[in-house]
Amino acid sequence: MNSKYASIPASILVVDDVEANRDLLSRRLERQGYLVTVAEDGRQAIALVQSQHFDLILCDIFMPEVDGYEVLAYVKTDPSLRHIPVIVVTALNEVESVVRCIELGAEDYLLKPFNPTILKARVNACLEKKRWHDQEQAYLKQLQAEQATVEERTRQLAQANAEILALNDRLKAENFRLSAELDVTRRLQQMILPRQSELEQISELDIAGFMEPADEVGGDYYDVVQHDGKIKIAIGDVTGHGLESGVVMIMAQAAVRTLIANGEADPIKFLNTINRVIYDNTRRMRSHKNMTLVLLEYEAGVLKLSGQHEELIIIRADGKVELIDTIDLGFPLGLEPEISSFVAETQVQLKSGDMAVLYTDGITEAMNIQKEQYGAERLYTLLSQHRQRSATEVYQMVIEDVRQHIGNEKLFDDLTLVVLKQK
Amino acid sequence: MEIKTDDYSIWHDPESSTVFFRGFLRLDGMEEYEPVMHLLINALERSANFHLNLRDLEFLNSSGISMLSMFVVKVRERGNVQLTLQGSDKILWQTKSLKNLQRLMPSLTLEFI
Repeated sequence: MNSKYASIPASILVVDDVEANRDLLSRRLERQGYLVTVAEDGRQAIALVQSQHFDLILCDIFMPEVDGYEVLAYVKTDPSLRHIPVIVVTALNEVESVVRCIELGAEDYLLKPFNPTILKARVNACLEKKRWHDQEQAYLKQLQAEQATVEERTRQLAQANAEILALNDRLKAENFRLSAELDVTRRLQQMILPRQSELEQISELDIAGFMEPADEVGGDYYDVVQHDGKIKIAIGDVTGHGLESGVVMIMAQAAVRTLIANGEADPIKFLNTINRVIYDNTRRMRSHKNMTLVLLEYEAGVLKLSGQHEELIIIRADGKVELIDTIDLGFPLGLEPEISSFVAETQVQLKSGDMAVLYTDGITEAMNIQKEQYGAERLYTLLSQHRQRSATEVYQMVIEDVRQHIGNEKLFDDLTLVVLKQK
Repeated sequence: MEIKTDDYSIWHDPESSTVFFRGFLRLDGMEEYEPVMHLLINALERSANFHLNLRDLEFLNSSGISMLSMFVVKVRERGNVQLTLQGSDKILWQTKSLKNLQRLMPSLTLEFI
């Protein structure tokens, strides 16, 4: 700032009604490198300060019409001018008037005739003071500007913060809705599962079923129903998670039970009808859900199966593992309007001590933190090792083992397992 | 066109008219598969002979398989695209699901290695 001011010569207004005085003063000052403007009287001086910038005014006191007092009063009462220092110039016999001028706000005074050294010293001192004052004002202005910026930023931040809070509230509401939806789905899913007491009524088989919903509730389903001396078992998995998957699962459950109650014995008609119900309803729902579904029918040691799902695992009484692939027994339900040509039935004989296990991919695809899947092999081995235990103990051991594998990882998919043992 | 995350990557190679899938693809529901579907449809626009290379796709969840099914149905509806699926018989989900895709579109070629 100093260098800036130093580089621009100070501008001084000399006011005196005597031409000789004006000339003398202005020459001296110009010689010292100042820019000098002259005014012949007070009126002219007032006009000039209104239109031009000055760093210092040297003003005679006694002038006709508008005198030095008036000029001084004018400058010192105008807020935009009062910072300009005024040095009054007076004769030796007018010292009393100097006192009045100082009271009016004059910075200093000079006596005529001028002593060049004093003139120089007083002018320099006044200009130096003015420079400090200007610098201070500039800093102040800068500070005020910065403060305004800070205030504006604070205002913007407050606004952004308010928006975030509002968004957060909306998210909370949305989360609440979603978690309420998941709770409802979880309850519906559990509500519709067969009760343990129903399973215990089945005399030929030791059956146990289990389903643990994932954190976001998948669409797993299983059912065990007795009809006309036959035991019907169904297990399925609707794609995706949440309410929609749960609704499709409930539709499938009702459709399966309807067909069983109606005595539908043809697996092709059975599965094609359920497929059609799921296909039409998911289209109405504008949903892309589809599902796997395998149906088992047990009667007198023979297990018939149809529909596409995960394989059926048979653990023979001697520990041997047999896998019944279901790929060629059906098709995902709800993808195509007509699946008759893909449906087929196969059967397997169960002897005393044999165990059949149905599961959903939530079990085999359960991942640990290293993204390793639980896997089918581990499941077969575990089942084979514990084949002599009860159906309930077997499913408990499997679920325990899958849980151990996952560790603290999130449960991505429902875990469903149905174990049946030929008594 | 490319979609890349820590878990999976999907990219289109226009030279060979192939969309490659790699990694673990486990998106939550069909809505989240829309960008993938979009990439597939865009890539399909440009060729009459289209390949999906799934050999390095170690995992695809059921919603992802649904997305592939819907894509195959779309290709089937166009009627003028020869679709080839390249899979690996070492990967569990593929042996099962790719066969279903072929059932959706019998003219589809399946290449297992």
